[in-house]
Amino acid sequence: MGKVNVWVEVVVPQEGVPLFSIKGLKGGPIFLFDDQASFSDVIAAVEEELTRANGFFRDSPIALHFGGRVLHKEEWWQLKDTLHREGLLLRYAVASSSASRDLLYKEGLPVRENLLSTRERKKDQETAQQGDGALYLRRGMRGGQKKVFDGDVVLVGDVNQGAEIIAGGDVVVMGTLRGVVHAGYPDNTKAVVVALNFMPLQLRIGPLIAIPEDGQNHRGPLHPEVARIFDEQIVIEPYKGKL
Amino acid sequence: MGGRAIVVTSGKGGVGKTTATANIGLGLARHDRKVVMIDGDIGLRNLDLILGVENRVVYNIVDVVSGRCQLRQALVKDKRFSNLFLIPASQVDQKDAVSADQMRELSAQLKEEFDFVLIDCPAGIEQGFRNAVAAADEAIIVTTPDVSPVRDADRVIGLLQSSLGDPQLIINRMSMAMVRRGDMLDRQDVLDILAIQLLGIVPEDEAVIIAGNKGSPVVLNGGSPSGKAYERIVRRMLGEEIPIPELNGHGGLVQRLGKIFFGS
Repeated sequence: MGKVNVWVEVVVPQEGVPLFSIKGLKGGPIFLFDDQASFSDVIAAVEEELTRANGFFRDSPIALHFGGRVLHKEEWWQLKDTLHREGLLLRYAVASSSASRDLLYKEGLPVRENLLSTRERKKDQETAQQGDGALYLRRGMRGGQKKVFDGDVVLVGDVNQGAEIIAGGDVVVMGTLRGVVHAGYPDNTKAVVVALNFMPLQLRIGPLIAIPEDGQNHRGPLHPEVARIFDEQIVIEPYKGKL
Repeated sequence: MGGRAIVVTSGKGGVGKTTATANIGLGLARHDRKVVMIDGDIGLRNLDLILGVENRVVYNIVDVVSGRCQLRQALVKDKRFSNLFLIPASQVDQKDAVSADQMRELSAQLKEEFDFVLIDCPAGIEQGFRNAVAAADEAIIVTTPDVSPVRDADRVIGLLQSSLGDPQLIINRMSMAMVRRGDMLDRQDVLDILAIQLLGIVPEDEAVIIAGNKGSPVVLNGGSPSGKAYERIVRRMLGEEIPIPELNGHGGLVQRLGKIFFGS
């Protein structure tokens, strides 16, 4: 595929917090908890990350992976409180310890022993097509407005400088994109950004950030372009009718 | 029949809100409307100076809302038109000396008596801004054709849209010379971003600065380009359909045609 504009600066993401990390699965994010560390340390790490995420996961259905940890009732309640406070919805938990599974099951959460195998996950994905439950906005965004959604976002209008979109999936702007866009949050490198007039202030896909060269952003071309990750860089090329 | 309460706001400071409020107020009064202007910039009072009535100020808005005086007593009558009044801001108090509810109530009272209630909004988006907006039913955004004010204006429009609907826009201090040199945004650049209806364009004009220093707003000076622009704005507000002219500078009309035929 032809590369048209290669943006100059690509920023590599920080190391994740080892006690706790978030992976983006097709069905939704999964929180992975270190199974050796002290649980209060883990909870502190979770709170920190959720604060930083600034409401991103609100109303998002997430899964929890405890690894081999033997979870105690009080620890679970503490964690559950933290997650509920942030408005998180719990889909299921994964725990290889049968004691943990028993506890969680009694607490009303579906549990599995392992993550779904690739084949099972593929089946899970088929029923949740890309674009399922996309957020469709039939208006533009002005400076100071922010939209956070854990799926795909389609917007018919302009995204002005000073506006921000953070999406777990793709972002499609049927208008002029001048603001900050983060597609594929937190680590979906397959996400793309499409815009009719592509002039973002800053562009992020998954873990990568790209900043346009000075002067690149005045009176951009008036044809649609798409940004995606290719060879560990963010590249932008004309949108030719399909992704 | 109630009057129209309009807030003149911008976000960015120094783009011409107070000047616009004064000129529009005077212009409307000259068209025989009963107009009251409220200086919403508590702590940094300006509107009285621009109107040249600073020596007539006895009471101010804080006196009114705190009950130290009757509303009537705080109304400063303009020295040129008997149907034009000003409620000055306080120079000593802070912006929180007045609440949004008090502004709303004051505005409701004034609308019963006046055709137009114009609220001069302070810069920023904090309490002063919120108070001024609370008193209004419509908004006029003032911006200059520069990136920083336009970005602030965009923010303000986003904040206002849900409560006051789409505001109208005045582009102030437009300089065709700078636009031609590429040193300034042109009207389409501004409208591409702000995407609201354009009420008028006021050209860069020394006469405005002189007028400000003398307390005699330009709309009274039919000879100046800016004065004429404000007059056109006032007439549009009163329902007349006046096209917004290309500002002076050769090639105005030809440039427009060029764009249509050759694209760019």
